[in-house]
Amino acid sequence: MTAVNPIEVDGGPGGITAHLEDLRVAAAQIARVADDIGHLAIELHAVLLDPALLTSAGLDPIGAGEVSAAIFRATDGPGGVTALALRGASLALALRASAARYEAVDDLTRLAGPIPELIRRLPMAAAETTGVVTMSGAGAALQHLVTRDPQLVDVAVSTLAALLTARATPAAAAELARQFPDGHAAVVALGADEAGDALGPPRSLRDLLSGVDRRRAGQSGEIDVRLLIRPGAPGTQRHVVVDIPGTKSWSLAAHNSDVTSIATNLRSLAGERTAYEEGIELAMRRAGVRPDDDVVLLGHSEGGMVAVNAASRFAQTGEFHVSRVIAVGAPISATVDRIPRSVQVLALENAGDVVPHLDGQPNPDRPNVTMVTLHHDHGDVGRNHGLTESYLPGATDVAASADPSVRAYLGGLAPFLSAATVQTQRFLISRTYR
Amino acid sequence: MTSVLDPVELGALARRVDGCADELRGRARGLLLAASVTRWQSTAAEAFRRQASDLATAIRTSAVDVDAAAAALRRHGRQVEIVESAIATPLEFVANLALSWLGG
Repeated sequence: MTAVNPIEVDGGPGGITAHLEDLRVAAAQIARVADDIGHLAIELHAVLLDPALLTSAGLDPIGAGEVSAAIFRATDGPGGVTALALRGASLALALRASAARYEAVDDLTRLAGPIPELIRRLPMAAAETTGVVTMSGAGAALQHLVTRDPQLVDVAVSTLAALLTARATPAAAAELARQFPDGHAAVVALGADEAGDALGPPRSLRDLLSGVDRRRAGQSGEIDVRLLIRPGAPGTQRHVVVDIPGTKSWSLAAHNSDVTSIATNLRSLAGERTAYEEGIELAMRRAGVRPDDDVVLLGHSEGGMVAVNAASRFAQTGEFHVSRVIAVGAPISATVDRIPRSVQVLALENAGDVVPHLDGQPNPDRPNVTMVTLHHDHGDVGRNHGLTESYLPGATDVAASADPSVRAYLGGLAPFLSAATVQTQRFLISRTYR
Repeated sequence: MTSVLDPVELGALARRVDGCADELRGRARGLLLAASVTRWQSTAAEAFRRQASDLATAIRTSAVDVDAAAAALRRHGRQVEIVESAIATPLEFVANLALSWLGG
């Protein structure tokens, strides 16, 4: 049996924002109940003043007195309907106040970001790092420090961005991106992935991630569109997975035909449209993806950022129906907020992976964004970010989780994991400056 | 002979009060449902659910008091009917006598 590492889950339908929504809905329902009970108190008071009761008192004064006393006790007594309406209203008010307090604390935690946690951990991390410097040199020590505490990268990046541009990280990224023109996408069809398709359709989250790993091993700018065919009557909704690998070129040249280069990273971080995203759109059209197909965009690293941005824009244009995004080791905190609630996002982040921290802030807690922290530490920046070394085994950990947010996400993914056959079309996206 | 008060009106009034009791029971159920659907888990959440449950119990108790008020109204209605018929019999005798004097 494969060993399963523990995971932590934030956000999603089991996250704090979802709970806050529950509290607000419950408060509104209880307020309505209290309001209804208040109206019943008015109704019972009206019975006391009804002309039939007043007139009948002349014929049976004792009986009429008993009726008045009974209604008065039920309405205005210590446990009467009027008092209950007030108790209900107070309960609703207390619940609303609780939701507001939770939200304030959550916002405060988000504003403070990783700094309090770092202050707690820094002495230990520093002591460990000093030991590594002595034994292995400064490079290994830095690697040890950032893989041990990737949140250091959040602070470093946000501080650096603020120092360089006096702006928050996404705005700073957008400003830096002006140095790297993005151009336009050129898309070439590379044909079917017969070797990949021979392995059969995906049956698990790990199988899905294996698809993007195969594309990562290909050329720079290579993506694929997997059409999952399920048995059923003609007209049954089709399911499609688009695999979007990450950065292959770290060149600082201003002009670069590699669509995965730094120009895409900086723009994607800021939520801007990129040539890479344009290429994905063109490839999906060429692959024959229809507006009624159910689509998952699956991106690793930079590919995850591009996937989130593309899903937001497809929701606006309506050209493709993206119901799900899987962002693997991707810095998406600044952009995932813009994604519509109809799109369910699964964000996988390895605890020792620095890349998801390059946006300088923690991910927001949203009911449609399930964030899973995996634990596969290899003490190496590259391997901690690697699909094969960290995220494929992490997908097995996720599948074993009983967390309600994770179960809800995987439940929605089920139609993508039950196809009879798969047809994968590969495309090469490059950047042109026409 | 027309009565001073139509006892049907008191019956309708009793049914209105019955309706209020039923409404209260329905609201108690609604309150418990609203409290149970939240996924909120904490000491405060438990305290909230306890308060909601206490309030629902109090609403159901209050519905019993309203039932008692409806029952009192029905008793009163029956008593009014008895008194009205007791008054009506001698009145009818006097009215018939007067008619025989006047027109034979």
